[in-house]
Amino acid sequence: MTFNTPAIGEWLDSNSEENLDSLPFGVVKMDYHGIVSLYNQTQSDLSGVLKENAIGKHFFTQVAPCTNNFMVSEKYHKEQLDEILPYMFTYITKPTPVDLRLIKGSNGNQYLLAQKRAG
Amino acid sequence: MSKISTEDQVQKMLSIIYQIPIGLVETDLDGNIVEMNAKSIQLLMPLFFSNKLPPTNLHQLLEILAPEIRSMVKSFIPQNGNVINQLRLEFPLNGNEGTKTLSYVFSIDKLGENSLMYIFNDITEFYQKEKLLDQVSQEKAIEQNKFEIASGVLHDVGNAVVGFASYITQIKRTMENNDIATLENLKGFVEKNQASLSNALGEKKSMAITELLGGVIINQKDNLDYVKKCMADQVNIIGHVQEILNIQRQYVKGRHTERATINIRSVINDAVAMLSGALEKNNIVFNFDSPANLPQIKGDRTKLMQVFLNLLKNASESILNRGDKIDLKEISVSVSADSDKIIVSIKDNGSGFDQKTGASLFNRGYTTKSEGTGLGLANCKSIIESHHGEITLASEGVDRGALVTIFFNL
Repeated sequence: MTFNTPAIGEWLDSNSEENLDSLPFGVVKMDYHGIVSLYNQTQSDLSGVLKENAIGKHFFTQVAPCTNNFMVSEKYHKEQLDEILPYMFTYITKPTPVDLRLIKGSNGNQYLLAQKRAG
Repeated sequence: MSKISTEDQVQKMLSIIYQIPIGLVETDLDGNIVEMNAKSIQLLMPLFFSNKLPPTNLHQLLEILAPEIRSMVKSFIPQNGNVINQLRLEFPLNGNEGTKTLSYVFSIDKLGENSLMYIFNDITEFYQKEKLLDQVSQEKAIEQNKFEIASGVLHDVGNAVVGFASYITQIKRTMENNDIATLENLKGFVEKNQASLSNALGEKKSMAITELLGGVIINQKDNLDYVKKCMADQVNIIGHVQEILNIQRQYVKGRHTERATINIRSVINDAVAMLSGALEKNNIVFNFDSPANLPQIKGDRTKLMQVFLNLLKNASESILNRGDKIDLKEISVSVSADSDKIIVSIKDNGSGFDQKTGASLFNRGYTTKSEGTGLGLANCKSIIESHHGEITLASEGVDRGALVTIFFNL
């Protein structure tokens, strides 16, 4: 399973947290309101935010306010979504270039995947 | 800054940094980003993106957005200090919904030999609100000016109308001194002496003289009747003009008065009297249904007058917008009262509105008119609310008319 695997949403829906933790890219699982239900280990390593500090919070304002703009959070207003874009995270205050994959399925879940980029 | 030692402290720091609602970026002197907080990414990524720049060097971005900032930073010689304090900048952003203008406020501090701290925030919303407020106060000034002009015009027109009326009265008197009686005497004299005239002129000619005189008299009478009728119409029109001027004067005079006892029915009557010319001209039928003895309310007559004028104007404009699609153009106002409130409803069969428009109609600054300011209904609402009232606006949809309902709680 890689960051670019097509139709990855179904696979994510059906796999355990343990399996998702072992992925080499960050995975954030949210409901349509943006409330985080799963925050995998790689995502935690990328952002510096501990899992327990992310679960149950609103992703775009409390966990990753850096995504609260038309490039990321507003994209989830669409009904369906699967898009990859280059973006930036901060680890505490260190800029970290990433690729984001924004996924919204039709079964109540939406995902944000993040993969560290070289450079 | 003390060394961050435990994971707890890291998490605390993170949540603080994440919640700081201001963009903070540290760069080296070449603009390469060394550190940045979450808010700065939120604010800057769209700008880097829409200018097709990698999100790594702030100076490249500022070179495009605000070259003046770049040159201020370049020419700042000291090792450290404040380079720019709270400078407001405007620049365009191409987003999902087209291009909009952003207002950012920037402060820049030089922290050391090779360190610049950029502190900035998006103040677009505040700035827009401030501009709107400015516009509202400007509107108020214009309104004041209009009142002054209006009272001047009212005064002059009032004087002119008085002159006009007295001139018409003079003409009327002059008309009464006409020669019809003399002509009738002459006709009587000719008829009496018909026999002698026939002898002298022949029968045909003497008859012709009598007929001619009769014809002239009838013509004169017809003309006189017609002129009298025109005069009477003129006098009525002048009466109407004077009535309107009196109403207007009362409102211009009364605009600073305190709350007085008011009869809603008479306020609506006044508003309709002012618009009656326009309604008639546009073939709009006006129905008014109100009980004679309404409870009175305390309030500002001038302001309520503005409300009803505004609502009636909106109704007739909406009818005219719909134009020839309507067979019968109609505005119906009905007033009713019970023990604790007065209800006024104004119904038109004009162009109406959809739900989305309906939701914004009372918002200050919202308009559907090409030359509107979007202050009319917002003002109506605040005036009605200042009279312990409520106003609602409903429509079943586009081209299905509109219904304004106002409650005055007694």
